[in-house]
Amino acid sequence: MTAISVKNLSKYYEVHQKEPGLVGSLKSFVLRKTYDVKAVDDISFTIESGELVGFLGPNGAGKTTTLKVLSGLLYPTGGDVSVLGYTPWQRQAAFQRRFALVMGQKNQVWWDLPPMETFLINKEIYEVPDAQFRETLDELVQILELEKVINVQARKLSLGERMKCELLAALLHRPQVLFLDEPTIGLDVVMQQNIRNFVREYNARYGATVILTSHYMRDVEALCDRVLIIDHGHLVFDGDLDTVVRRYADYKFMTVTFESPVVEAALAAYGTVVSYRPRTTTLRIARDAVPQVSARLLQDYPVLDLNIVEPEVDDVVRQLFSGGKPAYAEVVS
Amino acid sequence: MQRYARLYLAFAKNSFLNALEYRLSFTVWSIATICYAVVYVASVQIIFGHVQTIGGWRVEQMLVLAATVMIVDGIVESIFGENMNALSGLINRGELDFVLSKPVNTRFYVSTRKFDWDPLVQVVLGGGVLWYAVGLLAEPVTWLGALLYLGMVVCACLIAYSLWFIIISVTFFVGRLNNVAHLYYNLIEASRVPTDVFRGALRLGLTFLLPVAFIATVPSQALMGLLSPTFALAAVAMTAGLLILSHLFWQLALTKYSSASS
Repeated sequence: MTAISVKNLSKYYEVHQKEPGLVGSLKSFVLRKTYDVKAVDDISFTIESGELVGFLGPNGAGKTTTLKVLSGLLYPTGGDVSVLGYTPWQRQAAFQRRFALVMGQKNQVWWDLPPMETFLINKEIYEVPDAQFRETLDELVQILELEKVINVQARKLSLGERMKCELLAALLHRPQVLFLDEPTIGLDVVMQQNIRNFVREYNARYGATVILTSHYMRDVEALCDRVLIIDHGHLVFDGDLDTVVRRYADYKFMTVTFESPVVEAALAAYGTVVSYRPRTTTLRIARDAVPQVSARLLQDYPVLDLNIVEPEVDDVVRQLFSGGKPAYAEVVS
Repeated sequence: MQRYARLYLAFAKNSFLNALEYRLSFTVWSIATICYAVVYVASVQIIFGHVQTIGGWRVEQMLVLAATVMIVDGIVESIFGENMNALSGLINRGELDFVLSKPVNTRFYVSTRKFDWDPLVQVVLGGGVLWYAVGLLAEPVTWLGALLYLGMVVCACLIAYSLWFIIISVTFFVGRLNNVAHLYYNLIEASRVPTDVFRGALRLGLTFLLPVAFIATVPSQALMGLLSPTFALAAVAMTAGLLILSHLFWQLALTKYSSASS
């Protein structure tokens, strides 16, 4: 069953521009020059119910705008959108009871009170019956390990604990569709992992459809089989993640700390030197060659530390664009 | 309806818990309010040490007016004050997104989410002053007068709230309106004087353009049996009109928010 269908969605923002200086300001005061910024430009996709899909793209790509249109917060400039059979921006209560929006950078949990009080407010807003509220609360508190936290004033909680509470507050009415906008932003690795596990668990347990936006490749990698890559308002890739990573991020970064200084020229034999200091160097190495290169390095030099990281998703997307045409050719709609 | 009553109860409970978290705030507020009330009532007494009447109002009648201002202002600030002051922040930080995505009346949510328990001190004090002033009145207060007073106080609160809400809604799509956000406080200040003091165009303006008269003068007249039925009806009409107008402004503001914010 199709949960979300988006056809030719566009969203333009009108912004005004002004020339610098006083004269420019006066001109702009009298005659305002406006132009459209195409935040989302002719995007189409469908998502089946129960799918866990990742939205990838650099800042300003149009991810959040798309999510906001899907949640009914913004009117689109053009196109058709259907979420669970509803048109989101009509903001029908029946629709609003069936989805939830979680934003990593914004809070809905009351700052000065224990999270439990926010949960009780949401219970009233979503008209969750007592028994179901108890059951869902107990279940979510247990999965999220929030037993000790829900009765402590929210402002005294750590960022990670607060984020978990945000999730809990958003999920008490058991939404069938969940929009997660950067849910792991600013969290440490362990907490990111916890949130990921939870999202997977929620998706599996309730069969919920989930759209996740994130800057972190790891989030998307761990959770989503399918990704939509958006840049400059265009959908540039729709497909499974393996293809993206293999094709567009066919390298990793390796940071090596040596016991004694090593000259830069000698390192070029192992990979592309990205940054160099005599004792600590970062190399860019082809994905397939990573095991072999690290083995050689360890053999050739006394190595103190060796750290291998995936490229940032922003880099992958940028590379995807510098590749030019093949990226656009991948569009599946 | 019942659902909103339950929701409001939950809001009020949360706000009460919130107030308990900050005990000192309540104490400081109470002291400030008491000082303010004492100075205010004393100043009325001092003025009447020199004159017999102001615009036809005697000292005990002025005290009724003073008490009414305290009561109306206290109620409006308790129920709506914190919400009105928080609304522009809610918009700036984009937290209105959460409200808009929930199956709840947006205006209800943003207007009543926080109940401020502190200004209730002022309502209690106002009640005390009113009790004292009524004892001094030449004509005893009738049951009808008391009932009409309650009705007019409700109207006054809704008028003040609607005006405040309209101003905030306008700020919403204009971006910034310096100082206009303080209009509510100016309205309350202006209502400390009976509008009978003014004449001609100014008096008409303060009644129908900027409805200062309905905040305290009209309710006080109602209590003292001095209110004409026409004015009682005008108060009800003014209340209904401003509630509708504020609704329209809010709808407009939401459309603007929905198409502009990112």
